[in-house]
Amino acid sequence: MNSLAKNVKNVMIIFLFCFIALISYIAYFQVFKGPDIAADTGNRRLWAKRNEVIRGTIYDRDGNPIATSKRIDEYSQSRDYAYGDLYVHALGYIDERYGITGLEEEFDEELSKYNGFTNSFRSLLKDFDLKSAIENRNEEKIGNGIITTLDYNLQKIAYDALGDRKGSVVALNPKTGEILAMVSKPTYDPTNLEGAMEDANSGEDTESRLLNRALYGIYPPGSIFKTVTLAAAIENDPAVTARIFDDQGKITFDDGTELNNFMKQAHGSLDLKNAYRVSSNVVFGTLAMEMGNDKLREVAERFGFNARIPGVGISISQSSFPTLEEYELGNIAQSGIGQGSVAVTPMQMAIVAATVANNGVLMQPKLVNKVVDKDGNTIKEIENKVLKSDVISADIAAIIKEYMNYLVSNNIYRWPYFDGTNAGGKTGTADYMENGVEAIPHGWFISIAPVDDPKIAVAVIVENGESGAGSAAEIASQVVHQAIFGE
Amino acid sequence: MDFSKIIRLISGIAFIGILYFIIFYALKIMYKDVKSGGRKRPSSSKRSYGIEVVSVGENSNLEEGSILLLRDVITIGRKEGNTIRLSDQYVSGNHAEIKLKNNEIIIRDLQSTNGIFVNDVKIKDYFKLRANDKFRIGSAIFKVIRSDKN
Amino acid sequence: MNKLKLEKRVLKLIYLLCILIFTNLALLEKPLNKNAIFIGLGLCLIIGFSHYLIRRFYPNGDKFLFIFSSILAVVGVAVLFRIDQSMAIKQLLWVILGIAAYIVISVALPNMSKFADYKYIYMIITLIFMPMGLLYGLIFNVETNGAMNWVYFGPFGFQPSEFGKISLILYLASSLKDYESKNNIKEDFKQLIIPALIVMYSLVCMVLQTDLGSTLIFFGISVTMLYIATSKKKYVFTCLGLSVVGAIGAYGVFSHVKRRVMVWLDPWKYASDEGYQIVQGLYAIASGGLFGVGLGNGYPDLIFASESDFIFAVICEEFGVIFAVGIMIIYFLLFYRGIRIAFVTSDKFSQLLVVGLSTMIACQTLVIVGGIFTVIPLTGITLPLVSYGGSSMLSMFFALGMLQKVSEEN
Repeated sequence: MNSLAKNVKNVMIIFLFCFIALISYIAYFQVFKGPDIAADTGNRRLWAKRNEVIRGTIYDRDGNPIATSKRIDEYSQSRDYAYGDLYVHALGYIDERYGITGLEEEFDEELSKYNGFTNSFRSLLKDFDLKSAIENRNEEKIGNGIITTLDYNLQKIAYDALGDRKGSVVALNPKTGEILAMVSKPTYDPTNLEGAMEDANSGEDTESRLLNRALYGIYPPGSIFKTVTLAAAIENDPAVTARIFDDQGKITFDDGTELNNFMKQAHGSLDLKNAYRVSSNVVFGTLAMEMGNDKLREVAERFGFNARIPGVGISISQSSFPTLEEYELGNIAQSGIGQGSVAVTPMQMAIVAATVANNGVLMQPKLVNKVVDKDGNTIKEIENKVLKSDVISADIAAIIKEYMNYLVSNNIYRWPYFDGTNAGGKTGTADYMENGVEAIPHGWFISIAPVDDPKIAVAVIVENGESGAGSAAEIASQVVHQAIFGE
Repeated sequence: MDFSKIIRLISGIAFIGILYFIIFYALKIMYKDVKSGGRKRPSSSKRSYGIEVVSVGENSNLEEGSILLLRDVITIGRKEGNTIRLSDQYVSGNHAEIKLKNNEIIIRDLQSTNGIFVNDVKIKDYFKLRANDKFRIGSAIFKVIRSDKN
Repeated sequence: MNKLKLEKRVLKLIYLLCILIFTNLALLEKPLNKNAIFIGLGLCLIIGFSHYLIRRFYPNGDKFLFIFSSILAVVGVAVLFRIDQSMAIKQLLWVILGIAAYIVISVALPNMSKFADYKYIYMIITLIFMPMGLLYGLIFNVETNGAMNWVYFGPFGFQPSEFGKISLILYLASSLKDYESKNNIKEDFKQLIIPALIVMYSLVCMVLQTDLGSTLIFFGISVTMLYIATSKKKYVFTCLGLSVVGAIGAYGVFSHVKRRVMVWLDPWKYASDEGYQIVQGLYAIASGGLFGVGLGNGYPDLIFASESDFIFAVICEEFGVIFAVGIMIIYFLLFYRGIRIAFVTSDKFSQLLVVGLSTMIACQTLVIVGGIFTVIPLTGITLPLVSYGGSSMLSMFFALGMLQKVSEEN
């Protein structure tokens, strides 16, 4: 019988060993491999967990809901957009397959947060009602809501005005930094994300519908950049405002290359104000060369170039102004007129306009004003924030505003919507090369209104819109008109 | 954290706690078992019983004081094949059967002519014997003894 | 008597666990789910009553077999209730039937040693039951989850291999008990050849049925019983060697074996088709962490076969891995108590029987948990006493009943 005891003991030990090995592996697995596996995107639980809270509603500035959620089943919710694709780029999307973008992403935490503990625990202490706490234990969890800065009317006008063209419109409140409107065209249908993705990935896409051009579209600014050059020139030499220039239509450089005015037009003698009005490349190219690349770049950087401007509810691509050598006169001249390797986002130019409008104080652009809970109580207020308090002096800002006003006043006949708004503005026609060939230039317009006490600053770009004095100005004028008169 | 989360936290810990307590106590009991020699010598942990011959009576083949270990079954009778063979004429061919099961000793009267007397009382059909009980079959008297040696 | 006090304490803890789990389940819905409370109380009553019966009739028998099985049964019914309430009720019925069978076997039947000499009957039963699933599947062209190990009578289905398992163990116990080592290869071999053939026959049936888990388990049981009967390590190694050859052969011949192995080696590569089941199981386990996400907060419907093969993954997700490891410990202790009974009896048949049945429990647990964690390829085996399944539950309680019976001997 002894051999039996030994055998049984051996069998016992072998199985004990197997169990211990398996248990150790289980422990190792859970501690080391577990967390990564649980966080893997294939794990539907992550989305189911997110689905526990019904995503909060996003409202426009007047409290009208523009994006709401309702639950479909245990694993998914659907986002409903009250205005179709009107706000599609500002809001972004949230999708189990494609991820989260835009405002949905920036404020994802708030939208998914349910302040259950505070709500139920507080009411528990207040009423000491354990029974209702138990009864309400499975209460529906709804996330916090966001009140944006977007103005329905402005957004709609900008959207309609831009129409079928590609481009973007950004409208800011210069004093607060609030983004009143942000439109990017072409849009996509937010209820058919799959279709939009398919198109975008098809390899033949020329539309880039999913791109929010307002924040991520990078373009040469062209003549609207002269606003910055203007500011830098005055700062560099205050006497420049009284100077008389001789514009013969072109600048010729030592190596024989030329910088021409639009249509090679020669303007003859003109002061700075009129040089700005007619958008003289000669004058502004000369000014750029005179002050040097360092000075102009320094001022540009104060306006936010070569840096990522922090925004609330948005992230903005960096705009760039080049660093050039002293002998690169040609490039320096080009940089002064917003060509060469100067590249901007529409938002950056709107910020330039807004800063000028706000007497040289750069406000942080914000898309969100308030965070509220599901019952509408304010949880958090987003204050207006000064990013830079003296980009340019108030005096210089005043001069620029005067010049911009002068420009618009002299062109009211072309842009009737500006009538009565006391607006200022600047046109831009940005040349660029595509595949080594000169393409149809982009049309730009920036505007401030009313000049004496600005309520709005707008930047408009129409891709391949030819001259900015055409479509871009037209669109800007409509937006401004609505802002001033449409209260 | 709301109410359902609180329930969840408490329950989760409670379940784990109770389960491991059960394991702990079970192990404790098993350890006690092993310590008292339960594993290596199982048969000695139970009591062993024996039938002692108290009085031989008319039976020539019995010896007074002899003890027969009671394992499973012991049969008593005059016929051959019985565990305890009695020659007494008042004993039937198959007189009695004593069974040990689960520490219980049952003596059964196999329809004998003269019956079985336990502690001087004639039993009906069967009787549950305990240690130190005496029973008489014919002229022989036996006693149930128990040893607790482990 | 200190032991009795501890025993009663363990029982009380089981009642407490049962009540707590079912109360939690009841609170998950609003208003209160009364069914959960009833089932919880019912289970406590059944366990208490059965324990009392066993203790009264056979106080010398092993007490832990029933205690550990009742813990597992409670956890099983509770998790099934969480997954699907109607399933839980069916499972409860099987538990009651099982416990009834367990009590009948351990109380009413004569000693197991009396069953030692029916080797031919056991052999015939084994021969009939093993291929039943396969034949039924072939004749009626039925497949359940890719395997052919189910037989249906009208609305009722059962797994013949579960009962074949028991009869195989009975057969091996009764035919190996007479083995005597003669130190002569030819003589020894002659004694073993028929059992070996029967075992191989069973293994082949299982492979053809694509029930690879059962194949593994039968193999484990047979080798263990062989070792206990002959005490010859070299037989064990020979068998292992043959099995490796057989496994490689099966890999080459049977495409389904090959697929299982491929998926096992890199389940993530096949995450969207064949490895889906395993990957979902892994997600569930990983999401549970050490303490679980809490009863009712997991997502068992994302897991395929969550009520049978992957029920352990559900336990990991909702109760946490620490609890799941506790369950593993209980399985091991069940195995330990079972195999320990071999020392209590001196009858060779009973000893072999006990070793075989205990090994069955241990092997089954190791195979399915190992498969879930991709330690070995996944097979369609039930977790004893916890997984949903009448055949599995009944055969387990038969086995436990026989174990209990042997422990009461002497």
